[in-house]
Amino acid sequence: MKKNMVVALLLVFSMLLSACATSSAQGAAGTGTPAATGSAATSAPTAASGSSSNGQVVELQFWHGQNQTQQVALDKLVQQFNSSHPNIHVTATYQGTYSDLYKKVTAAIAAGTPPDLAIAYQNDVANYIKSGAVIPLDTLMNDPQIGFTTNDLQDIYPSFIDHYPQYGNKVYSMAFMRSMEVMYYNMDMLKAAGFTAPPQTWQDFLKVCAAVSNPPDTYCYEMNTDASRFANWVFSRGGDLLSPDGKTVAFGGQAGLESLQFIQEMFSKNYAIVIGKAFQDQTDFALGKLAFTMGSTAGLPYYKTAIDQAGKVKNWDIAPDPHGTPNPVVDLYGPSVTIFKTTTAKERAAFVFLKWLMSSQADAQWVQATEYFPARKSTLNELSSFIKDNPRYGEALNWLQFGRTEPNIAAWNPIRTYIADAMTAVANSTQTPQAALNQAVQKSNAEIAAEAK
Amino acid sequence: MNLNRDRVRNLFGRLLIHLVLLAGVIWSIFPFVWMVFTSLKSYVEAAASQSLLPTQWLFSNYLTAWNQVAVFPRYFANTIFIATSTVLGVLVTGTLAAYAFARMQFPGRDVLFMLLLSTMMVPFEVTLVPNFILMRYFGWINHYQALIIPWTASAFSVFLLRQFFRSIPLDLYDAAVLDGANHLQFLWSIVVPLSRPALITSALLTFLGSWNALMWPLLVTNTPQMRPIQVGIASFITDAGTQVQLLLAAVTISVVPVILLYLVLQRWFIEGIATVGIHGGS
Repeated sequence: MKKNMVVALLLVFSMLLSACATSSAQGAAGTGTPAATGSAATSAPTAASGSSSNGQVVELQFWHGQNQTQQVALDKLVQQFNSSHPNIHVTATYQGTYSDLYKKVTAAIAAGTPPDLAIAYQNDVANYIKSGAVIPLDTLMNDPQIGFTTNDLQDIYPSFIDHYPQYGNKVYSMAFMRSMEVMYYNMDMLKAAGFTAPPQTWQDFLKVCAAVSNPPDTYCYEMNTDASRFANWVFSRGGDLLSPDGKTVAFGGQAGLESLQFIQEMFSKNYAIVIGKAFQDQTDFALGKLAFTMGSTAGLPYYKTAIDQAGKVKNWDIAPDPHGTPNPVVDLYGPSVTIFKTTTAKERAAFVFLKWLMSSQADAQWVQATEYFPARKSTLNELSSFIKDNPRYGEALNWLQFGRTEPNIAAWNPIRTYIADAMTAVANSTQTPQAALNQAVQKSNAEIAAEAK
Repeated sequence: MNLNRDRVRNLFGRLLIHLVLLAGVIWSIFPFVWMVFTSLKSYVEAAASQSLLPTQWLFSNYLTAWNQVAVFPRYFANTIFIATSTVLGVLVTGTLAAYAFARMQFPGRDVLFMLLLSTMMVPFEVTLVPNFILMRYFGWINHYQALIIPWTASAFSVFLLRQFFRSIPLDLYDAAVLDGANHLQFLWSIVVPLSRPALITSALLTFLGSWNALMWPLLVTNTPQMRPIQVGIASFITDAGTQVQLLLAAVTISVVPVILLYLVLQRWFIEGIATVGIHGGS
């Protein structure tokens, strides 16, 4: 009897739930549709009275993978664009993390229904190019009506325009945000060891390490094993990652070897440890256990929160990695925006939107919300008060001119894994730097060759 | 004397069993406890601290997490609706199919059953794109149909229920036929009531799968209004760092209904697992 009661109650409960959900769903759908038609209705007349020649509003789907706080900022930008461009209407949609987003775009391409624009990493874009789903932007960039002027091209940092060496070196994506590979340093610890400034060269870095390492309490460096570390170490030693024709990797030379030897020295002398879990370097740095970490400036807000909460580190800052080159080098990374093959009208409208995202007015709002770096030099003028409040961000802005990027080839994703494997093997001393490097180079070249087939 | 030794041995055996069980309980409950405690820590403590308990209990994390996902209530309503509908669908299709496979005679029955089982071995990723194209073809993208209907038939549930139905004595069927019942009447008035543990097991597993789904809902929906809770949780994760405590607060919020449901249904759930393929319902 009691059992039956429970079952009956459950049934009623679940029915109620589904009823509620259905009604609320219908309710929202009901309110959603008029709102949608409403906005179309309000924008249509302005479009007719506005610049659009045929009065048609071009609808654009823009897919992204930005997290909660960034979504708020992005939605605001899209709203501004829509109200200032009555003949174009952009809908921005969150499609999961960047890897979820890639899966969704791939499925949508297969179904013949890609979005009009999407945020994507360059190696993902290379795959979209391969399936013929995205368009080269060179023609649109040179278009007399909507393209870039000479001034624009001088204003935009070259590393924000992605050329694809395997596809005629054409431009298939552009960015309105980048992060930067930098070195975080604990000035308290450096001062206590008698240093007045962060190291400029790799030799100096090792000198600091010898002075500050006191395992197991403090270490010089905690390695967050990632190919972007290696990329920057190679750049900073005057090396490169990919041959100019894009057919082989170029890190097999002296710069790559020295980078792995650097790891060997750090670990054999007990200066360094490898992170135990994701972002542990950030928190260990905040707890005052480390002199240095290296990683993305996108981590800055997380470092700040952790350091403030832990209260162990008083003076800290960021600097470009030590370098053997005359100027510092910073690896600039982050996803770009690519435009899909649709109709001429949509492709052109999509380009207008992308160009607008890269404009100093729009980009300034975006980078203040996200602490990413903007595409144009002129954006810096819009950021003066923000820089005053965020001095570290301001410093890093000056290093944008030294930016380099990782190769825009589809094989770069697996190659990153081979590089990380080599770094781990050397850190664990299961392989010599030379052997690990050779193996990574061999696998990487095979990957590129397989991709070209 | 002998009796006494038996009692001691008995007691010792029971103690041992309970110790093993206790270890099992701790083993399985620890992730939940860790999740709840970590969700109450500060960021740096959540990321770095070795101790289980927070030094400062930040219940405000829950409010922050809730507020960060602007459409959390909507996500919740969607998930509950999708999961409940999917469960109902699975129970209806599963019961009918399982009964046919268990009790009815028709040519090719066993081959069909094998074929059905073999679909369990096709990974989700393989069917992702074709299924997506199918949804597009039906015009179901960004509709509840796409989120529910593809999941309303489950080979596993059919298998589970078939095994259970087969353990119901044939005599009962003969008796029902004598009373003038047909297959559907026999299924509804005899088999289903006897199979409650198996049905509830099947329902719970389906509910859980539906509750946790992320990739498929992301794929077939385009607006926050249509999306389930897991999408909200995923948006706490970034490449540069993750506010672990907020993520876990969101996860805790999202598992509460599942745990409640389990607590209510656990008696049948355990019965279902324990009796499948061994003997008929109680």
